[in-house]
Amino acid sequence: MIRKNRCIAMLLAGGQGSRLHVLTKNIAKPAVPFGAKYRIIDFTLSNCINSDINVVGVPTQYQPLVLNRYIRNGLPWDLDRLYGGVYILPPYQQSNGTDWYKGTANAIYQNIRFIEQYDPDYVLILSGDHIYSMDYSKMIAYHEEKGADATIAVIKVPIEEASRFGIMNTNEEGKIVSFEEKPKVPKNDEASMGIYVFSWEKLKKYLLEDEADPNSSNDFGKNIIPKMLADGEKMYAYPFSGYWKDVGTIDSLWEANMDLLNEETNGIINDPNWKIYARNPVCPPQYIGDGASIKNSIVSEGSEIYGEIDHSVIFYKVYVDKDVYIKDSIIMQDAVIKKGARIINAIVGDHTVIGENAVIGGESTEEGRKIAVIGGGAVINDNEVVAPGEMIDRSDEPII
Amino acid sequence: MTAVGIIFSEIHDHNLPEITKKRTLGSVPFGGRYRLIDFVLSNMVNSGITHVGVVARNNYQSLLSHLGSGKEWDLSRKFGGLTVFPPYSHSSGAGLYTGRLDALKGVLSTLEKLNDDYVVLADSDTICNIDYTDVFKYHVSKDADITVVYQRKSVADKSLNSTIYNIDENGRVTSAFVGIAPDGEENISLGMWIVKRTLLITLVREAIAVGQLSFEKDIIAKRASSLKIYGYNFNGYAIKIDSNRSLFEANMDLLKSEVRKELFKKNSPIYTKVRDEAPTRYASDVTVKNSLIANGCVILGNLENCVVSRGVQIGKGANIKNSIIMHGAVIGENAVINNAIIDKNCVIKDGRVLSGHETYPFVLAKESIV
Repeated sequence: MIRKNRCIAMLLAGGQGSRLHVLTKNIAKPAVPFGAKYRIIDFTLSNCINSDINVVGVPTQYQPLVLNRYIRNGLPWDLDRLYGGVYILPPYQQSNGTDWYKGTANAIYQNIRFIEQYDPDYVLILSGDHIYSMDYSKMIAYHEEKGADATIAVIKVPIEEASRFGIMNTNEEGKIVSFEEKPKVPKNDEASMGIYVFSWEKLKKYLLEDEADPNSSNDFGKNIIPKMLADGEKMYAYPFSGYWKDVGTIDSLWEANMDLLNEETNGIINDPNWKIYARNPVCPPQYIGDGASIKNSIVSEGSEIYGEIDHSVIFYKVYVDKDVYIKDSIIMQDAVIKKGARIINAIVGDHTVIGENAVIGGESTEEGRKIAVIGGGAVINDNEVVAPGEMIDRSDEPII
Repeated sequence: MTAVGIIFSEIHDHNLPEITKKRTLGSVPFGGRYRLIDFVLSNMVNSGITHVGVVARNNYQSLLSHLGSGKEWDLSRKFGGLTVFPPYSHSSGAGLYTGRLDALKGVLSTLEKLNDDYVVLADSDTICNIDYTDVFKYHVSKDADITVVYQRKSVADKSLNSTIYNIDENGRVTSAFVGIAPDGEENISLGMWIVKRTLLITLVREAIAVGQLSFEKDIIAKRASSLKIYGYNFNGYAIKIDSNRSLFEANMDLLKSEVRKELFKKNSPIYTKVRDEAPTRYASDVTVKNSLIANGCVILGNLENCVVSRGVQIGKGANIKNSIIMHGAVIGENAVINNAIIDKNCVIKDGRVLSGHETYPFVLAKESIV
């Protein structure tokens, strides 16, 4: 045991995020660039440190290089600590066998010894694929106050969308009476955010039981939560209100980026009392050239802009040449956009080159908006046309 | 062959009265996100010098908070790394130094304990991206005692104390003059010197013994014939910040793409303290032209030929031209600013009009409210 910690966090970063297609081909979903200078995982890591949780374990197994290199010693999040800090936890070989993480619960099960070092009362389970600011310490206080075994954060979603989520049915005290994963006819609009606080002794017991069950898929949502409910454990829903966005699909990732252009929702990255930390690139300020036009956009350091940018998110060290028109798009770091290119409704990955007069994506039609995606490292030739909604995959290597 | 760096954080503060009122010269903000000392520190680190001492004088709180542990320059090391030498820190009795020689007196005991072969001495007021390994090669090839770094150009402001070297065809410094500014092109000191550590210790001891104070006047100028002093001509972009005007000019130079290319090289980047600012947001009806803007700004007004630091807010309808806005400043709606240096955390209220001239920028001291 190192030192007793009341609560530690386990941030599940294992998933491939296959619905982000080419954007997660070579990197894990939590490492996907977001919001002109961040990566998705920055939001959960910053929430942890801002909530005074300074032990964070990150079980990960899919394409870990970029994520590993990004998190490293945890310094940007103040998680470079004498006691605790952030740890990347890959699956490992043991004398009795070798296993990948089979499911979210198994990823925690395989790290029981990591958790026990800190002798925590509570364990906070997080996933690294949501954009939100949340004070976990309030949720932990709620858990304590209710004397709960498990507390699940819930958020109100539009009732017509509720069938896409795990829906919690609660009584008037907030106690969860039943849980339905993606119900066809939802009974209410309180969706699980995939954020759990467990009393560690209880969770440990269920993890051990779950592991012993050969029929289990070792998943929190499918196995652990239903089992605990069935056993009549004290489980509460913690209501959260505020900005929260799942960025698991191309459309939702695009929308969440666009939300940052809105003065109100821009606050999520601009709150002086709740900073979102990121590993910062070393580069000079952004330069806006003589003929440039920038409207309703966010731009990060090291970029040089000579073209026209409207309602877009421009990452760091992006070069936008003259006569370029970019609208409703996301241009990730180190991209080079050459003269005369037009980019509309697109996500352009990092280290890409868009050739002269190339056309990427297009305006929305009555069929709706289709986001074109250029995978990281791709080279789009001069005059090449990438249709709306098309996906370009031309690189097999993660680029660092 | 190893070298240790010694940086003088403060040499001529009195030339920038408003800007250095609450800070030392080395921590004067520059280029939207830097402090002057970032350039010399980064140059040393990029040249493989990883043991650097910064000699502080007074007014150094902002310097200390900028430097921290030196982590951001990769100078938080088990061996070497960053050391700050405040005044009165040693029993040698060195207090507030009056010149570089005096400052070296205070670090003499540390220099004696090291086993590096060379010392690179540098002022913190020169903006350039120089590779000291090239200067070393030159120093070794000439078998020099001291190598001074200079640039051949005409003196910009004749009222100031530039050091001028006379250099023969072999590169040897034959004489040096401090504080005179003849017309035409001259070899102007960039405030960087390479010298063998043991020789430096001897020179400083001898100079102190006879009450000498100035490194350039008493060592370089007086010993030009007895010591082998050579001059290394640095061809790249370099500017000394020794007046409000040069601070203004150097910032404006950053708007030229060739200057940015010379200063911010991919393989020798300029490091600075990280401030975790969000990306800069531009509103829908703004015109921004030829400006260098750091992160964390909210731009609701118009900018032309400006250098804007981190966390600045430009109000709706404001028109700012040819100006330097340092970090955290808040510019109100419809304010008009021309040829000005607005220091950190200043507040310019709605509709105010401030104007200077490009040869004499209007300077608003830190935290002023207009």
